Amino acid sequence: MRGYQEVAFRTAYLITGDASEAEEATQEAFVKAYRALGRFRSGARFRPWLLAIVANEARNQRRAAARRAGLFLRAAREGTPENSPSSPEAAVLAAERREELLEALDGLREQARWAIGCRYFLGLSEEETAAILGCARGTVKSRLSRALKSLRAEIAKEGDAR
Amino acid sequence: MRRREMPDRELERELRELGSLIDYPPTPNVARATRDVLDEAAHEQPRRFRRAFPTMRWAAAAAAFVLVVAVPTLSPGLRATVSDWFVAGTLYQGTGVDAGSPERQSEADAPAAGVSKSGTSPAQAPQFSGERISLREARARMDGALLLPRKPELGKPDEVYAPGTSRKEGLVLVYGGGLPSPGDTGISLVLTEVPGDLEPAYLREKTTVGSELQRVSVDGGPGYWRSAGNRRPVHVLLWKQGGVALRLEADVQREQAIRIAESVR
Repeated sequence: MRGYQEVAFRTAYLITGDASEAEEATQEAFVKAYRALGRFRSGARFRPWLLAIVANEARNQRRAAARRAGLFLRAAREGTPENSPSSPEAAVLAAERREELLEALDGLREQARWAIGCRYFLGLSEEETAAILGCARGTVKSRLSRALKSLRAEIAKEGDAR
Repeated sequence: MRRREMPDRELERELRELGSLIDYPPTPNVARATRDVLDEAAHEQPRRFRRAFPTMRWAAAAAAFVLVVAVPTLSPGLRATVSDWFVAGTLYQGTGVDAGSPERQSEADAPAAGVSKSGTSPAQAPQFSGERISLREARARMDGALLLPRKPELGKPDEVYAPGTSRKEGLVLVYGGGLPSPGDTGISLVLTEVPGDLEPAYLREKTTVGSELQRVSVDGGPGYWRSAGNRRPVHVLLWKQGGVALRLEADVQREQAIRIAESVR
């Protein structure tokens, strides 16, 4: 399991927004996965199967904590890009753009936010994203496309409000 | 700032960049914690646990995230000790957690202790749980089928431990001489034998064959080799012989370990 723990933990962290809840969810998921190995379809890919269990546990954790969705993005606000813009003005603009994106993401429905989180933040495959979202692999593209459309609309809304 | 016209590609790039800025907390060792939970469950409900994890399940597991090394299904004390050898690599650093009792170790009929013979202090030496028994008792325990390496340089085991009271719980043979002894342990080789298959005896947590666990051939049969690492200072060879799952731990090269294994009868 060791090889999967980072992606599993990060997935749980993006969903719960809390390190200790993410750890608990990941561990619970690993135990469940181990016990459910008999139901694992031979020939199927393991990582999507495991991540689906992790995401489910993380959602349960978050529900148990009655946490509002969307907290997962706060961490990004603190980060600094590796290739920082050269001038202070450019840095301010870049930070503003990130803030704008984050606010727009916060305004999205949960499923849309997760679709974006899986694909762009965690870099998961379509198959893994489908497993986490609980949808068919073929619908990931359309969900993602809808999520991006909603995101653009949110950004536009913010732009209008400014 | 208006960005109604932002193309998907540009938006995707920005999202990826944003994702790369997420400052994730350090990943905890969930795999280890999971193993502990499963260990505990196995200890509390051994029968149910075994039914829940028949050997066949390992075939499915192997297809996905494959094999691993770990902990024999022996007595809880030995399990904890051996688990530490593998996970924390403490075998030759001497932090056995559940030593055999001193009273038992001083029994008159017990064989000479290799560890104490070497003058190693108990604080430095790995310690073994379970009852320390004589070689004769060990032979009787295994119904006369005690497996031993037939290498003149090794001689007879210096110490034998029985983690449980029945044959199926296996034995641990400890050798003190004949091979390099890492650190100040005074121990050169540890051979564990448990009747049954390798999977329930030694393979639990999973790791990929090819990275940590290599497939090898022992006397024409399948075996697994795991090289020592920073946190695990001894090499490990697993194989099965005559209905008994064996594990050899020593600071020797793979070929030499296999030669020792092939001398076992």
